[in-house]
Amino acid sequence: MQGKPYPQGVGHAMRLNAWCAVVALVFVVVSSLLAPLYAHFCGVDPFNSNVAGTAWRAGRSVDVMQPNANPLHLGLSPLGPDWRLGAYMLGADTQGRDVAARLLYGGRSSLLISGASAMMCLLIAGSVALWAGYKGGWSDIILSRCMDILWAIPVYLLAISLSVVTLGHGLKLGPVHVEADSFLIPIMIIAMVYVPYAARSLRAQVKRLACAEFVLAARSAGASDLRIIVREILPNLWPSFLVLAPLVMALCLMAESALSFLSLGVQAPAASWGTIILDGEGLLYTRPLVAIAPGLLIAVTVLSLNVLGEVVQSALDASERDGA
Amino acid sequence: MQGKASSAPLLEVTNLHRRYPVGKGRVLHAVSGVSFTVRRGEALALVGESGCGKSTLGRLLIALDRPDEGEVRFDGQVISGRSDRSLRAVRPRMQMVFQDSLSSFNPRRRVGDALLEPLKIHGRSYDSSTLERLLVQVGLPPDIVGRFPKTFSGGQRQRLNIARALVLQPELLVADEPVSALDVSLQAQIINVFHDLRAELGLSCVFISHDLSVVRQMADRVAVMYLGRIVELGETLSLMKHPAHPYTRALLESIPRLHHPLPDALQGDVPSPVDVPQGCPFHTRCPSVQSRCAHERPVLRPVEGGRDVACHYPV
Repeated sequence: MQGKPYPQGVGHAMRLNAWCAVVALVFVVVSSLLAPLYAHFCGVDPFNSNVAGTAWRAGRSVDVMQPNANPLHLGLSPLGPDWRLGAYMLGADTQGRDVAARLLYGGRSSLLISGASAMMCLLIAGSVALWAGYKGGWSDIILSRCMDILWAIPVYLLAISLSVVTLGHGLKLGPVHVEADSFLIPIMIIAMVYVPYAARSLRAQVKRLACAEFVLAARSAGASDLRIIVREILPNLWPSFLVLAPLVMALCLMAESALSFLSLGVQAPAASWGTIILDGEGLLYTRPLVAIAPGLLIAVTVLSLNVLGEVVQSALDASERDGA
Repeated sequence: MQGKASSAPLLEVTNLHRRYPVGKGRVLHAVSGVSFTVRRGEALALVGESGCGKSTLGRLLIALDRPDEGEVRFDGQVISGRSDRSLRAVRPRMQMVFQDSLSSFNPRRRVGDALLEPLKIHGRSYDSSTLERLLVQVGLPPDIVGRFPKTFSGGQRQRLNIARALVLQPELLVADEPVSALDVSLQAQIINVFHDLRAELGLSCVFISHDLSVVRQMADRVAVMYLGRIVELGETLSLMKHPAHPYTRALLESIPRLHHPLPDALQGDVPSPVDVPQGCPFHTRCPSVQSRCAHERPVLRPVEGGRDVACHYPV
């Protein structure tokens, strides 16, 4: 294409970033999905403690819990990593469980909870934004003030308080009863605390779209509010959802890990990356990998999601610029 | 629906006001005390400089906005200040051609879909020939229905804009600057489209424009607006020939003509509609201003030649 003032699409550096992010995310997701496969073939149980277990190392069977190397051999330390594909490849934790298996199963819960809460968050934020932005007036004032109030409370403080309340007895919503150890509780809490974050930018978009002449044209044709929202405004809002989704999921993943680290998210014996960091806390000096590995996974996933959001944003900007 | 006597005006506007608060207790008076009627089959043009309240008035006419005072009657029925829901049945009878032909189409819908949308809203039946007939009416090839609005030229989009306004077979068409965004050859084409439509369908039209030379070819009557008020209203030809209001005269003189030196332009800018001058709103720029004009606001009154003029000293 000659005569274009800008290169078409996104730049080369951006493209490389995008590929790295996608590869990292696919790796994390696929390996988490394959967790039962690893547990089955290596014959390890990721959930029940196994302090009397044994593992194969260099052709012979060794205890999972080793006596400490101090002169009196007081206390036990879990087995370290040997980096070979197989049972206890990343060593064991204080309860003798396979760290690698727990990481994989933990990834399942972390990704499931952050993905589901991101979706729920965008669903609620989208509805709020559409109604407030399109209707304007009192609906807008009330909904926007509610969002401001929610956003004024520190996100983690709010999430922690809600978790403390719901963890005791679970959640009773009329006939629906959510058990205290259900994933639904962290999902709902995390989704809720980030609604204002997503709703704010979406509402601004809707407000801009609501005064477009094509909305006036629909009104003058006699379209109902719902029809205008669904058929005229929503299709123009998809790009914003596409950009927000990975960013919100990254935030949700961090919130989930934080709650789980504080024992307020995923409940034992289930694992999430946050709970594994907590398990590794006591082993920081002897087996630092137990805490570092889930930390690295969280960092890589959050980074990839953020890069992805940024790439989607600039790709959309580019298509808007070149497509006119 | 046809029971009403056809001599009654189709659109009747009485003492219409629209004010917008602009903060600090100040008010922008976009439309202020406008009254006029549009008869069946007639084309009326609203003319004035930008910012004189033409577009606001246009939206008030088809009840896309609510007036603060006054009322709009369509076929004897009050339509101003009513909810969208209660207007659903009247909406198809009055349609608007929007000013910006690009932003008046949803960028994510194919134009065929957008053109049929009004029919779907009202549950009217349609088939493939409906669109074809419509597109032929406005002079577009029928194979464009699958394309997106961005891919059209300005002139084509303006035709689509008109086609969409026609799809419900309205009795009244309000067209906001239908040709101002087009170059001169396209202007002529679109003006012809309107001519044909009026002849074929007997449409009543309200054209909103800033350009008197365009209006001459489109309208039977002209209302000249200044700062939200009608300052002169009359038959197009007689108004063009013998303008009675100094503002109309100034507008007409500003049209460049061959073999005529350009006259002196109006002095100064249009005053802000937030602080409308005391007395006659035009007295700050009027070439024939008198002392009375600064204190006393002239009302629109009939003068000879079937004309209404809001001026103490009509020409």
